[in-house]
Amino acid sequence: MSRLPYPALLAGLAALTAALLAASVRLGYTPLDIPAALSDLVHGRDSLGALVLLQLRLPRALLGAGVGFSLGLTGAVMQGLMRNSLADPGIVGVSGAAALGAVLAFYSGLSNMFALALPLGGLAGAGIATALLLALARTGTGTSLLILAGVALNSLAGALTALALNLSPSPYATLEIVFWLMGSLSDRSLDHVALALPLMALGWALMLRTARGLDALTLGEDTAASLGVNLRRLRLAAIGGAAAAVGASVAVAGAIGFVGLVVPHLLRPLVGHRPGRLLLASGFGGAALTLAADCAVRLLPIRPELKLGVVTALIGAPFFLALLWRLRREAE
Amino acid sequence: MILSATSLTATRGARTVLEDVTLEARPGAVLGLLGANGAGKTTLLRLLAGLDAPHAGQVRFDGRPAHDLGRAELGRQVAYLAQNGAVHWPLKVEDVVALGRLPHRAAPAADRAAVARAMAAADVAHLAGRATGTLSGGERRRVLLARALAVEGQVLLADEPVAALDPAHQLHVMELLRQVARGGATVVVVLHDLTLAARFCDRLALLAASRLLALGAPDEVLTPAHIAAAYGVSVESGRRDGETFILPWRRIAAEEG
Repeated sequence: MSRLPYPALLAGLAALTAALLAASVRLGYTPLDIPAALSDLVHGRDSLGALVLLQLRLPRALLGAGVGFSLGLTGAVMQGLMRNSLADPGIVGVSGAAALGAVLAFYSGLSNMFALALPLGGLAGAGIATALLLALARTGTGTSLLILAGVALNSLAGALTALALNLSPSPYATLEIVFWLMGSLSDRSLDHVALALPLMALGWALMLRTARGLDALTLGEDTAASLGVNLRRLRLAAIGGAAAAVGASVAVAGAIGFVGLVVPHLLRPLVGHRPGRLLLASGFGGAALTLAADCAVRLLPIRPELKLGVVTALIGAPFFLALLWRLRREAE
Repeated sequence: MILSATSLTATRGARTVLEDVTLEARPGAVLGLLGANGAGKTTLLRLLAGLDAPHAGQVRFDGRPAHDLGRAELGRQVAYLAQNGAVHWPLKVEDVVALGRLPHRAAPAADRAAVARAMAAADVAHLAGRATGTLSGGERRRVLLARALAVEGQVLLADEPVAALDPAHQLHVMELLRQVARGGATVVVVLHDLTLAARFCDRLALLAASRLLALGAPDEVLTPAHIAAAYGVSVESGRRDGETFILPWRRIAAEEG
């Protein structure tokens, strides 16, 4: 099979992401004359159309792209760092902690006082977990120990989240928490975008710097070090970047599974299995998949609207099984 | 580049795994590291590569300490071929070999030329487009050797480069290492085969129980007494075409028992 040249692949994925971003802006429950709304926006007219575009459609589309890019990129970085295709963004332990932070904001009633309490709680949870992991990484702890620490953190956060649900004062609160945990992009505002996007961008910048190091890691840590790679700095950039991007994603969108696991798998053969080249490709792939799933959520005639995390898992899991089936057949 | 180790000592936990090793490897020559399993060969090679810091002592490149050169310069000058040749993703062979150019940041054409030279030298050019997952053990070892050659550094450190190779490729790789040395590089190679060590190395360092037992020309190092002390075996040896061959014959402990 002849391989698509790398720049063409990237351009294609970027174009796909842009198209789905535009589709996401067009999709909604009320008809919207986008050119008119845009013109209102540009000329500062406070029309209903301009408001819907700015406060509903754009944040949802932008967050979809940002969260998807974060999950796809982080999945690729974690798989490269671990040299294991089963790694996913969850293994740094930050997503569980972010979810716990948001749940505590619910539980304490803070989320009723102001709308951004949820994402801020999520960010606080992610921040604490990240600080713990970075403190470990700075002491020169090896990759597998760091990941085990992440798994332990994730389990602890999961247990504490379950505890909060267990002790929840009202079934209504429990239901709300459970729904939030399923992940969604509906009813997010520009405030959410302003909160999450800078952190995501910081995470992307850190993670995209790991490309050469991850390529070298293909030959093991010793050989990578002999090629001039600073392993400690590589781990810090990968885990710190993953924590920033995933923490911000979970804080604004809840837990959206499978994107970070499936997308790198899907694209790896298209970049000749090179971990460095997989990064940007996976970022765009993740953005495209998340945007597509979020469009599907709105197109499906099912009410109440399906949660995004449910749809990504519903698409992702069978697809993943099919992929494994094909790999198994090829291996025989 | 003269690679010198002075009074190197390494510890792992409370255990001393290398004690007071002083030696020098010179450009143009192949230095062989010999010793029983666990004698400290790989530990020594890792210290020479600058991968680990010694507990005591110093490694110098042309008189400069490793940290003086810096990670990037060390990456360009010192190629290291690890003992366990894992390739974690099914990369194409030419992409694996190209990883040796990572420290250089040279022009793409220069990198491609270096990769082609390395693949031709290691006899893997015909495998260029294959995925590493489809290679035999010996082919993979040679691809990894080509990766190390592609660095085109002044020092080549190879940990058991002929393990898992058939006899023809063992001879080929040893000839190649000697040729790399004759081209001006400093070559240090860990070996278990006494005949290959005697025939292809200019100097040998024999380790036993974490210490340097003997250092010098092959004839001086590979004496029956040294071999008995280092490996616990007696040997049969002879000469052919002016070169020495040495075969491990019996375990000394077994004879006594």
